Amino acid sequence: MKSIKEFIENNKKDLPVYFSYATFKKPAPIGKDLPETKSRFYRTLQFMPTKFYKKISQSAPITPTNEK
Amino acid sequence: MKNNYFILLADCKLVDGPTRSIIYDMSRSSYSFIPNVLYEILSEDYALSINGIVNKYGLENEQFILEYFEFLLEKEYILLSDNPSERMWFPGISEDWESPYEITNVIIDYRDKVHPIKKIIDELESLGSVHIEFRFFSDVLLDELIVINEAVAEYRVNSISLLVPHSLKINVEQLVKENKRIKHVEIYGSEESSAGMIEQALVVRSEDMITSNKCCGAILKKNFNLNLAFFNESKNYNNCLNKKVSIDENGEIKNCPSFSDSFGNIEDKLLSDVIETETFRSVWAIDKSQIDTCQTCEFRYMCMDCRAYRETPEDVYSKPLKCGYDPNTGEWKEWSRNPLKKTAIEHFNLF
Repeated sequence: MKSIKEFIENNKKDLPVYFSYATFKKPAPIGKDLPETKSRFYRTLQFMPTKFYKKISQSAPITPTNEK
Repeated sequence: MKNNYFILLADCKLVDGPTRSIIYDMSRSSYSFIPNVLYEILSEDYALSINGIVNKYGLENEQFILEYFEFLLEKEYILLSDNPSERMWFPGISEDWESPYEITNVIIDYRDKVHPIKKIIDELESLGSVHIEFRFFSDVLLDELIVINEAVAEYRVNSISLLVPHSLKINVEQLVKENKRIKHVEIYGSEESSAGMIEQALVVRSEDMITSNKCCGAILKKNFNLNLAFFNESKNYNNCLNKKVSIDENGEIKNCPSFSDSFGNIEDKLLSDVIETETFRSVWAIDKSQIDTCQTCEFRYMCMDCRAYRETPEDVYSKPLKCGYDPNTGEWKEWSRNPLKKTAIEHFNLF
């Protein structure tokens, strides 16, 4: 088994490549101008335990991809 | 943490590969690589607590396993619970793909010949609410853009993409303002590359020269498509050809403009007659599980397939010719410089 940090470092070059819409530049590596803070949609049954609801509601809000 | 059980969230899909695996994050259209041992843990050991997982893989790996779960929590791929039955609150998402339409996407190529666009749009009206990509390989048909605009105005075309040369000198701002269904414009042969939103459309300027349909089919990371609909379609059908019909620059009706087989000319054939044929539909069912190399590749459900250009031209299940990725090594290389692909490149007359 390997350390996850070492694994991530070794595979960094193949991470997603995105256009940076807001700044009209060429493809930017992950971490720049990306919608990483988008809220996650959780599918669940009607009655969700409170502890999960609190966790989900603390998830960050959506960041528009073309925000200037 | 160690007494807890993990719950992998339904919108995070696991896809394995020979050297590494990927978590597809559907909600955020992103992905993370994970080691194959973590893929095994997430897909097989969900009934175990984290303590149980540590016991299974050995105390000498405890530190790595805890790091794995910290990584998954940080990325919000999992939740933790001290009660495994609480997994029931997070049902899975179906991997079926259905569409009420006979056709969902269309490619229409132009060079110097005009197509009967009103006839085409009229026929598409009965086949579905489609996405149409208009590709112009020369700058001689500027007026056709006006004809296309008028033709689609009264029909239920869902969205439009345009591929046009820089030399066509279109007023992009005016074009996308006048037609709200234009969602994507790519202008090739530009002086520099850029991308940005104009009104509702993504406008991409590319320095590449795109001279014909032979430029299509390249497998590039920047074209990877990560969303649930595409994932499900890729699992069940050919994600390029499924429910697609194309009209090449000569008016020939094909599955893809780059295919050599024609099903007749749009001047004297009905699209509905063509798409009903078994032969036309047969390629729709060639999913990733049937394609050499792709069937084990970790990118297989985000990568658009190409059946037109194949490493082994006579084998319809052969790996895409223009893919430079080898999942067995995890390495990307320039496909056009691979000497093993020389015969196929000459066969398709690509250079």
